[in-house]
Amino acid sequence: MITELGIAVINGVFIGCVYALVALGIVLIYRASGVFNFAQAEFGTTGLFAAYAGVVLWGWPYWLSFLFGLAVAMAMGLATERLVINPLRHASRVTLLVGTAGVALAAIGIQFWKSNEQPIRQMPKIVNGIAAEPFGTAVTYQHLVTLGVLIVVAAALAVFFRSPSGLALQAAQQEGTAAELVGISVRRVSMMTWGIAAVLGGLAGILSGPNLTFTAGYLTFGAGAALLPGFMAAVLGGMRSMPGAVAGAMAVGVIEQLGSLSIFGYYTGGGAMMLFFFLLIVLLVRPQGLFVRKAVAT
Amino acid sequence: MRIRKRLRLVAALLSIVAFTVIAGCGLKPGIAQLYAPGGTGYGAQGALPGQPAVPGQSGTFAGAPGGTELDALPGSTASGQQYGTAGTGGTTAAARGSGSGGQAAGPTAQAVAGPADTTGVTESTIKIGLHAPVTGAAAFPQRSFERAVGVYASYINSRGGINGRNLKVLFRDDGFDPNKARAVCKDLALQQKVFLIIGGAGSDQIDSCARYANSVGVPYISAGVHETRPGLGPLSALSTYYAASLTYEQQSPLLSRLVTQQFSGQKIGLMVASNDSLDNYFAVQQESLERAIGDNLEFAERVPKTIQSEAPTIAAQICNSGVEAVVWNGAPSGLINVSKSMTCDVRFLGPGNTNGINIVATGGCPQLDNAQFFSGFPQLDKINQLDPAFEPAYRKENDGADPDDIGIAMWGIEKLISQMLAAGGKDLSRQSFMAALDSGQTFSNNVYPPVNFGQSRFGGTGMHLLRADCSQRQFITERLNVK
Repeated sequence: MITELGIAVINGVFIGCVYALVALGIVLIYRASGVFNFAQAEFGTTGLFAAYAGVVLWGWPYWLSFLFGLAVAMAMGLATERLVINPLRHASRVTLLVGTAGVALAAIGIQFWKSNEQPIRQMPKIVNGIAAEPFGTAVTYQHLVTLGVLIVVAAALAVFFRSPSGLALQAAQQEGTAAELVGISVRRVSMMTWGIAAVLGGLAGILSGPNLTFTAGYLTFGAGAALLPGFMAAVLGGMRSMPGAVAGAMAVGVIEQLGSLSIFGYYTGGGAMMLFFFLLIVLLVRPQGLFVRKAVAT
Repeated sequence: MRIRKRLRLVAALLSIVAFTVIAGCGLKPGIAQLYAPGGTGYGAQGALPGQPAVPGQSGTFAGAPGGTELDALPGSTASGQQYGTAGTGGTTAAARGSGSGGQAAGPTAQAVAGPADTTGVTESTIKIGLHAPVTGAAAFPQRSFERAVGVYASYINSRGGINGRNLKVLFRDDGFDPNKARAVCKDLALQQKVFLIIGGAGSDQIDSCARYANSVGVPYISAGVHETRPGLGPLSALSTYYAASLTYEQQSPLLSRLVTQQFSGQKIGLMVASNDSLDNYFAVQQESLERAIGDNLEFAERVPKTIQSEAPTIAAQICNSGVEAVVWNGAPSGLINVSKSMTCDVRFLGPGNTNGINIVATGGCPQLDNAQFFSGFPQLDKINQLDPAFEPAYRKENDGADPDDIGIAMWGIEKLISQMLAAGGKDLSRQSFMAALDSGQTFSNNVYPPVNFGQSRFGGTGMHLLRADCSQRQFITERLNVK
């Protein structure tokens, strides 16, 4: 049992790293524009497909393919902002939500269209090999790279939100007109936010892809499904807290893995069931999330 | 205010769940349009009037070896042709007392007797339907299916068709989803009015469609999958169902023998997907392995039908157990994902068919090197020896494209169905067709092992054994017609 718990925690933390990258993107966009971005995971899958094309199909160096994947993800984020979010900026949040879902489904459709000749694909790892085997589970160098990237990204975002650009982003979200009056370009801030979020999604896709096989819709509903866990993590973090999103992602990853314990062996979806119960309890007890202080009525 | 806030959060969560479920169905845009409305027919063209019809019954190619045993397992029967040989009966999970009841002959054609039902049959054509996943967790390459479906139909049509009628095959993607499978089968049966339906792969999809086909009296033929499903009863009880290869339960003793011969005295594990349609197989295989290797069966566990984030945990469990081999029956993508997360070398073995296709070797190598899976159809290394007509016909139909194993599978099943349709006679009806199958006649075509429904609706008599050769990133045919 101890071994099983150890396996669940270790795998949960490493899977949680991917969820965290997705959740950070979701929170970033929510903070900046109040939009539930259903396309966040597909930024990652699209970036993964692009990186795969660079490394495997075109024989580019890994670093170049990696950057190309991130660039494609960022381009998709910027295009989403310009073609969907900006034209709908005065629409209701539900309309925006449906708009991002449309972007995700369109991306998945294109991936299917372009990838079905070989529906199951494998992205090479940045570094092959296993760094350690605690409790018999494989901690690969790829896992460690992902963890390292998450730490760097989280630190960078913490610094960013204290920088003038970060403050501009928050100002633009809280009061767009006033922000414009003091010289902040809301349009630029919005594009910057979507660009950063798309890069975060791209990192999630490109870093997690080599751990599994990938197909169209990989990060949305495929083998690396991280959209729903990413949203859960963001909700646990109160939809506004970056550290909360990271901690929430780790919690989601570990709880999900606990569903793989042998005591749940005969119940399909044991992990999902535990996750939903956990989330339900959190929402009932602390609807504002675990990491955001309750708003004071004014 | 607080309640509204909570309601908003709950609504957002529900939206997320709904979106994920809808997206998760894996519907590929373009697939439906590709085959609908009306579906693209394959093979109805190209008949050459005046050419003699190819004998359809128990047909073998002159000069082609008939069911060769390459390296027979001790105790397994050399294959040869099986004219008049009874098919194997179903297998019961004695441990659970929930067997399929396949020992007795299945429902006979009399059960569906009545006015001759000639739906899908005209003076000039026989229209049949086929469903298989080109999207979802067991996705097969769409292009492969586009190329493969209808190759044999065109081939036989160019030689006079089946008793003078051309064969036309309609294909539908079932998305590896039982609900979608039922919907596409409903379309094939009621809108397209096909004569019969073929189930390509996926036990849940085949189960779902077979039960629907039975409800509307449409003959349904599939590769062998599970025999029974909790609450729904055995497939052999369906009056229109026929399995053209060994069921998973029937393959369990073959697997146990393989394990005994190759891993004597070593620890073995059993992992089966948690679909309820595999409950009986799980019990039968566990019992069979316990009988064969006793305490060396280290674990017998169920795994999720679609393995996602669970892959590393399952891999760790396998490696921590110290087993040498795992008998696996689950989705191919899950197998690949688990193998990629493993820190140890373990051999995988399992029943056919989907884990033995080359896309699994392509995705799973090098971890799946030497994995062995049974299959209803041979691989590319043997097909030209067994059926020299396949490759030229495939290339001719596809502008010289290289054949693949999906092409072999489709060729084999269409050939088998053509033989069965020919056996239904010139005055073909669903009744005459099923009477011909129930008559005990053996259908042998050098691709699928011989099939005989005289004793049971589970008409397979053997399986080919494939082995993953990661130096070529494909499966090779290790043994033919293992019994």
